Amino acid sequence: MSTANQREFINRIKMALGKPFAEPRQTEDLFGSGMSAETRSILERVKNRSAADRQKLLETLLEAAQPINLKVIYCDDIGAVTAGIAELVRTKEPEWGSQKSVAAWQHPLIESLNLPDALSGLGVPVVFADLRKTDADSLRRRISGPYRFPFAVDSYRRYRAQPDYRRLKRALRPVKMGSAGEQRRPDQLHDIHLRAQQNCRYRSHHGSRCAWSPGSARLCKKF
Amino acid sequence: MWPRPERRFKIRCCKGRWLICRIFGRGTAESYRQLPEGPDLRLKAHEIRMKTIENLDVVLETLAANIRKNGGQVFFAEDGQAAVNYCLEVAQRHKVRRVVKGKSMVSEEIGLNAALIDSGIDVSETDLGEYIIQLADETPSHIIAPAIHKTRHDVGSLFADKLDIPYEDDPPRLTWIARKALREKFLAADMGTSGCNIACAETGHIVTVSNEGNIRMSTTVPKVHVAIMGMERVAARLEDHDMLLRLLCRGAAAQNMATYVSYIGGPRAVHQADGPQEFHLVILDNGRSRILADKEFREMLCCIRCAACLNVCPVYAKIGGHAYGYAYSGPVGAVVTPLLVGINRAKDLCLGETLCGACQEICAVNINLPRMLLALRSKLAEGDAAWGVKPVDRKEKFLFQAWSWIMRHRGLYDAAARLGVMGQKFLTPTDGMIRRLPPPLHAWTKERNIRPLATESFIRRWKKGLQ
Repeated sequence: MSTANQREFINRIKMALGKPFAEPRQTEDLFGSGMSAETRSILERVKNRSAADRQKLLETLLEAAQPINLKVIYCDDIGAVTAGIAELVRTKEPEWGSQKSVAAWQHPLIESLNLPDALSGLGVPVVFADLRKTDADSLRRRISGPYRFPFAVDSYRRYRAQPDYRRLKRALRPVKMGSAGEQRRPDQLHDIHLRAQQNCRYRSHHGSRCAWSPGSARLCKKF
Repeated sequence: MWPRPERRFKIRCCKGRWLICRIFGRGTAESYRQLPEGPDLRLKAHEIRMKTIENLDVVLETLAANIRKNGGQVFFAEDGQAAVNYCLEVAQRHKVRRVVKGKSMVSEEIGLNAALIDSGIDVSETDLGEYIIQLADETPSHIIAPAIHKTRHDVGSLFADKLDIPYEDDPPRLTWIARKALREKFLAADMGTSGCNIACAETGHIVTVSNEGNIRMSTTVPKVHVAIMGMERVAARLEDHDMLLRLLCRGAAAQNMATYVSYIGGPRAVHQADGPQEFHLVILDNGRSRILADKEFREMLCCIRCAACLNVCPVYAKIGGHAYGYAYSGPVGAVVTPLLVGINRAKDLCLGETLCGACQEICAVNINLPRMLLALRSKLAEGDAAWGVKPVDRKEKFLFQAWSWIMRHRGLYDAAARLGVMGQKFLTPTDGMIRRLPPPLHAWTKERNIRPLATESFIRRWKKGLQ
């Protein structure tokens, strides 16, 4: 990246400030060196915090979490944490689809919870996001694939009336997804490609592509 | 009798805005009081900001060097067009079709959305308020709460109309609907754009603040992240930065800390799976260096756009953000907009403020906005070659000079008042109000009635009372 425009830009600022262009500037005063005494004292206080202080902080957290709907579950040991998470998984519904799954951070503390075994009874897989091993692109493709690529509609019902987007939505059955390999309702699709039959009265719609507004239960008509 | 629907709408909006602004304003004042350092932290922050602004050349060079060291790319844009062109160039290079956008007033300032849409790119606002505004095809009416002028019923009708769903006015349900639509946009996006609340030169990172997590999604999920910042939105040291961040959250929403604070220090590293592959920071001038060059207005660059001044401004509470006509509204807009777009062009903004001083009292970095409003008015009255300001109205200036002279001479003032009382008999007061004044004062009664002068002055009545 060229820095030519940077020089020009900085020179304009220097001119606005009435500072000489060539003269080097002192920056020690501006950036300082290391932490201030205030910051150091805060860090010292954190380091030497007693168990009673920590308990007090936990109580403050419990109190402060309530108004912002943050549910803090107090657990005495690792087993209670695992049980608490399993209970959450059991009672909570997934945001999309019906398959529950848990994504966990690869961390010794979380690994010690032994979540895969605890959740196997519920049929819920646990995926550890190991940032060192996972290929970013394949992960991105796996997650965003269903929303980026068009899917084939493998079956549709014939309808004779003028293409009507609401009727079309009703007519389409759950379809097989090209890349995800699972069934989805049409209103969960991002793009739908329609292929009209040759004898269709409305030839202008032959092979037309309709953009699906995700989650909005309608087909955009701009294409 | 009920007023007409549009009038009812205006009353409702005004009432809602007033209420929300009052809650925010009071909360902000209280949150300053609860600071461990006390409310005087604002004064310290002002000092720090001024020091940074007066060394902006060094600070920006350090920021650029550290961002590049972290693997990011930095572009210095002289004006809005240069910034937009750079964003389009990045988008074209990566064959971008869909962009998700975190809330950014600077992108409103340069018209980034329109430029991306014109290039055939699908742009989705991801802040809930901005999403509502985008669906309604409107502009933000508040710096941090862009849809503050909309009620839940408005949003329900809008969603029903634009998203083709049954009408719903339960806020959690409406939020859920928006969330569902937006999640899929995040996953499908090729590029994310955001603003920058404060950058830190020492470490080479930017910080974005949100309460919905949308900016974190916009900046980490897509492959490319482009952040745009005004050149003044930078702190030299991490300690300064953290102090400003605390004040920003208090000023903006009376929060000790925003729900999501993201420190973004470049693209993801080779061994990381998370984050964008490319990170671009666009540093924008767009008229700011001109403000920097004028010592009278340099202080304006200390602003961290927390919008606390909007929440206490009686003018903003009455007229709302759209009336300002530009990206920045409220007292901050009344000063910064004329300086960015031309003092004559946006003269109504600085002339319309009340000078009550509430904006300075609540300002997170204690900017003396009333002083600058007066300075702008003075330029409009006298003209200013450096800013290219033409005097607004010689006639008005003459009238005020005459008025000032009369006020300083008691005898003349009393005589003029008596003449006025006699003269107003011919103005046929209706219901005790004067409907029309003769030229050159007729403009005063164009859109309002005024009370007639009292037949007896206060001093005369007071003296009578004493006797």
